[in-house]
Amino acid sequence: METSRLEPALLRDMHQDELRAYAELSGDSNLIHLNRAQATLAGHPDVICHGMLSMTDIGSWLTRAMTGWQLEAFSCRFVAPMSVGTRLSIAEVCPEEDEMNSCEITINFSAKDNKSGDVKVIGRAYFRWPGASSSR
Amino acid sequence: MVRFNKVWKTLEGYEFVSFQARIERDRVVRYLDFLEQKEPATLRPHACEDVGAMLPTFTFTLEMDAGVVADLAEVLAIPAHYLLHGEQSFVYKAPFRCGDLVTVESYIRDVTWKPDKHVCFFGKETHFLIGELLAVKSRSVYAVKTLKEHV
Repeated sequence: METSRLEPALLRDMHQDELRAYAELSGDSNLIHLNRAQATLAGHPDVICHGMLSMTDIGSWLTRAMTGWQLEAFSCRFVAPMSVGTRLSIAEVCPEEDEMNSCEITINFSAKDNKSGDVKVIGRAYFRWPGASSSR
Repeated sequence: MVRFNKVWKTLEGYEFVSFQARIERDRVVRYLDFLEQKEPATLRPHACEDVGAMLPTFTFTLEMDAGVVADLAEVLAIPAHYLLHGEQSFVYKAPFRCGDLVTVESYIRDVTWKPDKHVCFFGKETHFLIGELLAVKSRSVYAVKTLKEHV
């Protein structure tokens, strides 16, 4: 059985201050991330976190773990809304069988709510060793 | 929630107004700080030489600055807060650097209505070009939940 190649990690606590900081940084000031009244008007029980905040943190986890490798593609599906205060734990899942000395690596990952265990984000990233030609 | 609008299905291929944006070093540094990538110092210059490698979601910021989500909401004739970001993907074709002038071109690639689930998905594809070179291609999928009845 393949074992995970990346160390699991606990991402940031996405409390309201973090959402405000990310909104200012990214330009995504959709009020469902910042204002409870607007979030409930849109059908949510409370403010929800930016999916892209989690993807940004996941990207950081990946690029740090894969230092030296060239990121070719990165995708996330935001499976379920994340309420303000969510903290995600990220881990590689279903490691793909790579050939010995492969110059390409696929990382599948899943991010779960650290409290409930519910999956919130799933995704995949493709890395290539610099200088190797891509098969994609 | 909003009512499904059959006009939405005619929007496949709709092209948003293209725009240009400069990759500002200050913004890149602020992203690194936000991600607490303050060390090692040797990585910061590299981040400015190949922004996508260090900050894979950075190009999304350019679209946010330009108000692309608001534009999409306007095209759909719904309040922006009804757009749920469901998926996001990036393909990195060439490096882009601090100081580069990026041309951003977006269009609605696909519209998928799921009447049994009362949700409509809008797939938007975006090309980020440096000159004529495609640096990054991205896809954003937004979901809109609708009322049970529709026109």
